[in-house]
Amino acid sequence: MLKVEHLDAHYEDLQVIWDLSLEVSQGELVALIGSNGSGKSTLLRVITGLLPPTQGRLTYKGTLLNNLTPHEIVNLGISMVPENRRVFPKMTVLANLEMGAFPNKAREDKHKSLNKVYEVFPLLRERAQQFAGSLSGGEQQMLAVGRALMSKNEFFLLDEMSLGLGPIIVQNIFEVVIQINKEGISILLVEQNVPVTLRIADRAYILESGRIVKHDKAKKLLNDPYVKGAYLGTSIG
Amino acid sequence: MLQTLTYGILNGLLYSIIALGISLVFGVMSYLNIAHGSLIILGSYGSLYLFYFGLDPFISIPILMVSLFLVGIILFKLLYSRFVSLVEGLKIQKSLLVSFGLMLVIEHGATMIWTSDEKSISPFYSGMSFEVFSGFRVPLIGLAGGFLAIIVIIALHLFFSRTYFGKSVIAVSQDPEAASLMGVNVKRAFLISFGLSVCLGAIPSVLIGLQAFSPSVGIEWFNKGIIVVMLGGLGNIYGVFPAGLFLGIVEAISVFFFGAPYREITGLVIFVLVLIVFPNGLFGSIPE
Repeated sequence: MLKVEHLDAHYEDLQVIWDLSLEVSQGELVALIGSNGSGKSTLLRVITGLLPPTQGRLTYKGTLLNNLTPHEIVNLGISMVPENRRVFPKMTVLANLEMGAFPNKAREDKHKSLNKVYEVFPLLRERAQQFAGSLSGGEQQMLAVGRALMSKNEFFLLDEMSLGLGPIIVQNIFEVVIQINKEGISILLVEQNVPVTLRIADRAYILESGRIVKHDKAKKLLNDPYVKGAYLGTSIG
Repeated sequence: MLQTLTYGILNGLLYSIIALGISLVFGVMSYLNIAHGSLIILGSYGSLYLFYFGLDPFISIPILMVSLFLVGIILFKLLYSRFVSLVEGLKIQKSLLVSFGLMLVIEHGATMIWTSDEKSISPFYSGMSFEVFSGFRVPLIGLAGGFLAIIVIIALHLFFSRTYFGKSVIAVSQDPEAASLMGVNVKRAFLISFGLSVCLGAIPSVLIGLQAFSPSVGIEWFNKGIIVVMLGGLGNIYGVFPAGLFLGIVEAISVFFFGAPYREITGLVIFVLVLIVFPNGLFGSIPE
């Protein structure tokens, strides 16, 4: 579905991503794991069109994404839940959700999608008329996911969803991720919370200093000595 | 006193609508458009020409609106579109510089074409007023202008709160990048908002045209507008309306007590005092 081939990306003169290749097939939940500054968020910025790549090919269902703008990419069917939620703080929860249904194809089914989102996150219905800025971090994360669901897109990029949230909320959010994946949405999940991520993902890529250093089935990586030592905090013994 | 207040309110509505244009552009795309006043004066000349062709100034407003909208679109494409992806501080700097240049070009271009003489549109009803009760008169033009200003403010509010595109502009003003991830074409939202801002100048164009105008007064009206924007709270589009009324009334009262020459000074002193007490403006939000 999404195919990244030999991608390079720069911030000005600084190269952040080196010869990166990655693929997500229909219905898969693929994880991208790496520490701070490894280039995960940069890769998502490139895929969503916020940062144009300098080398390589980026395709979604066969369409070249390299030179498209963010809104064109959203219209093709890729939605992103950005790092730090990025909800619109001075708009109501309802207005935020409506913004999620901005693409024309989503607008027609707005009310149906809205009910579906309220089903997944009943809390958002209670808070519908509240300003999004007044929600707690966990509630904002629910809103950010709900907003992406409103787009009716088939591919989600989820960036650092667990960052700064309590463990119970993290668990809730991940349950929702599994649920929407089961409903047929393909997901590229970027996370620092490695143990949980590897348990729910189908496959995973490990990114270090802008390069993919390992790539395998998630279950296998969970028992990989290198991953255990570097990311899971258990001794290599 | 009632008479003074009425003049203050009518003048304040005029300030509000000028400030609304400046605030719209600043709130949505962090551009400061110094040329806003000069564009309004350009509209006044347009209205004057249409008046020579026999068109009533109030009827010429729709024509001015459309043409000013187009002027806004062209200016944005030519001059302002290249800073859209800069950070906020740089956007303010660059737009300040470009619009200052644009203001000078308009001002001096207008002086070359129309000379620096003061002009005024004078239809048969200019200066007419009607008496509500003895000693209290309401100027006809001011009243019509006030009505128009209120209608435009309500229309704009409906646009931003009811239409999908209007809501997307609000989203862009809060977080352009997140809005683009929702599928909003941010560049187009900027373009339309800029056009809309210049288009809003049509009403002050006519109202100022009916008073008196010359090429150099553009910046003076911009100053009024920016004072109102700051009083209302930078970036707070809704603060502009009460802030405009406030400035209008304060000025009118100062004329009543100290005489017309002190009008500007009193307005500015009050402005400084307000900012000392409320650094975010009267209706500004607390910075996050």
